[in-house]
Amino acid sequence: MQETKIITKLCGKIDPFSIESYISRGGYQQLLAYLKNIKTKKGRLQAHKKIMKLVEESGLCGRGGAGFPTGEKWRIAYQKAQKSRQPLYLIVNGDESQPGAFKDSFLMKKNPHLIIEGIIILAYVLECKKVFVYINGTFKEELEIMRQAVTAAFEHKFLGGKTTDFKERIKIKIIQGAGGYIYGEETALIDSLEGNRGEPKIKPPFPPQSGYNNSPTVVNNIETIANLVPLLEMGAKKYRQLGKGNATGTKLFSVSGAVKNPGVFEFPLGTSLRAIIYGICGGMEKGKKLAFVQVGGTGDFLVGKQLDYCLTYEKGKQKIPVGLGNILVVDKNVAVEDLMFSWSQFYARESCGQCTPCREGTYQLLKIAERLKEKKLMEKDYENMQDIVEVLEKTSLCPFGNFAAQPWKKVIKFYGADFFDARKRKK
Amino acid sequence: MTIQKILLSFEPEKENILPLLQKVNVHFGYISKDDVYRIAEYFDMAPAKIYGIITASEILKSEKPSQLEVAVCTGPHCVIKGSGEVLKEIEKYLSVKADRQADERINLKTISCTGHCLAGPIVIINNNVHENVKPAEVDDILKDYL
Ligand SMILES: Cc1cc2nc3c(=O)[nH]c(=O)nc-3n(C[C@H](O)[C@H](O)[C@H](O)COP(=O)(O)O)c2cc1C
Ligand code: SF4
Ligand code: FES
Repeated sequence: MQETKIITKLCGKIDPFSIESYISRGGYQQLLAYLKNIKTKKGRLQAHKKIMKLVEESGLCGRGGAGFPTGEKWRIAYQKAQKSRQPLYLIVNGDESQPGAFKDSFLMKKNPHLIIEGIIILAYVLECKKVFVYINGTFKEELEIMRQAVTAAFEHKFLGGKTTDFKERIKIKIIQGAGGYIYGEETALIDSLEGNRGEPKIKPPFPPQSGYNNSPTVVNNIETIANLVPLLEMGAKKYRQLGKGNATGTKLFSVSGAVKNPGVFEFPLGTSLRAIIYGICGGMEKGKKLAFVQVGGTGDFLVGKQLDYCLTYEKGKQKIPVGLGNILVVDKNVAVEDLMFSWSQFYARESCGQCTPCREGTYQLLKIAERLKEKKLMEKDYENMQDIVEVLEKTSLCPFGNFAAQPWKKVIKFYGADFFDARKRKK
Repeated sequence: MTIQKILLSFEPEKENILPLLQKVNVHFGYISKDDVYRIAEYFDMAPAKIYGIITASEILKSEKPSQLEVAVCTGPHCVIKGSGEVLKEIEKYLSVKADRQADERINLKTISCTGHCLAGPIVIINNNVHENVKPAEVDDILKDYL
């Protein structure tokens, strides 16, 4: 199966450092068309309504993991800002630090102006004067490309002019993130931008109601924003035809692990793992046999018929939650203990530490993973692991704690409790 | 550039704290105790708050880095690609265990995915990213840094 290149249409075909190469391929046309319509206040309000309607009708939902309807998020924040007369902030989430996720990085490196054009249009639509793009602090190349893209957009007067009755200049600030997975969680990200340590907050209030500096704030994933320009180009009807059921449009997938051609690929939502792994990825690497596939970092270990289920944001039977769209293909040569250790290390390291179940639970799970790996499991490790998993799921302040429990739940679901018994120390 | 000059290039607004810390960290390689106090004063914050930000971050450092900083990715993709063997070789070559207390000379640690998965196994040495590292190449790569 061929890729459906909507978001990635120009990736690899243009020079990310040259705004001209984006413009020569039709770039910034949607922004210019939009600006033409908003010279008066009336025109602006009409254009606002039109885009909000388009996005709600398209069924676009967030690509940052949770799949929240994008139009609804924008509407809540916009209405709140109008009512409370507070400034509205837009934060673009480019923190992407989940292991095996690299699609936002890909987009930033290959077509930064698609993101910037989307940001500027959205800022006008939401009457937002200040935008933060929070990028994983270790992404040096992406930071440089995005910074120069903002400068180029400014020099070409796509930013900062007085084109409309909405006279304030829109400012886009590229932020080098503090470096860590938890900053990807929206309330932690906001906390970090406010000059704090970057710890998740209890929700509600949700950011569209009360976010940055207690103002209404829209937080969107990089890929979500990158959908706006193509959506304006094709219209809601055509957009809905991509995808399956209520999961509309395409999704970027980061495929890693033991396939012939790992990489970032774009497919309509509803596509199956088999189509991706045995299609564009060319199947398993030479000499390697599939053990299982894991999607979104926290998903089930999938094999056999499950590879034919749909990857989607819809819930239900024979459906696989896509999350950020990272697909990890594990082969039989890999010791599952090593993988469990890798995940446990990640979660223990990245816990922000503000709540006890997660801070202590992830540490204890790491210790169990260590013993598992060294075949030195202790008598009560299995029971303790189950207790910790339950406490993490039930009492963590933010979803991170729940995520941390998932690899353990999934490994037992897949292999059964024998997984532990077989790895006890031989007496 | 002195710390004073860096400070004055930012307005003392909360949104500038992280960008400022990143800048100081790049410029001096870490953020010294003196600098933490200067920064805290400039932003009218408790120094402990500044340390809170630094210690939660994987990039900002409160102590001078070792001469040789080696980070081996043990994220899932790199594990599948054999980073475990690479790590063992590095531990052997440097005669230190990973993730133990660093000393002035060497800091060997593991990290969980850098987003460069496609080029894994990844080893980062003094900020240089080495891609597709094979256990047999470890000696050659490290030799250049010693
Ligand atoms: C632990 C954790 C990590 C997250 N990391 C990211 C991330 O790296 N990038 C991202 O866009 N969203 C991430 N999210 C989701 C954000 O909180 C937020 O829902 C998302 O940015 C909203 O954008 P969207 O509506 O466009 O999907 C994370 C959530 C959690 C709980
Ligand atoms: S669940 Fe973990 S990451 Fe989330 S707030 Fe609690 S300690 Fe922090
Ligand atoms: S797992 Fe090593 S770079 Fe992603």
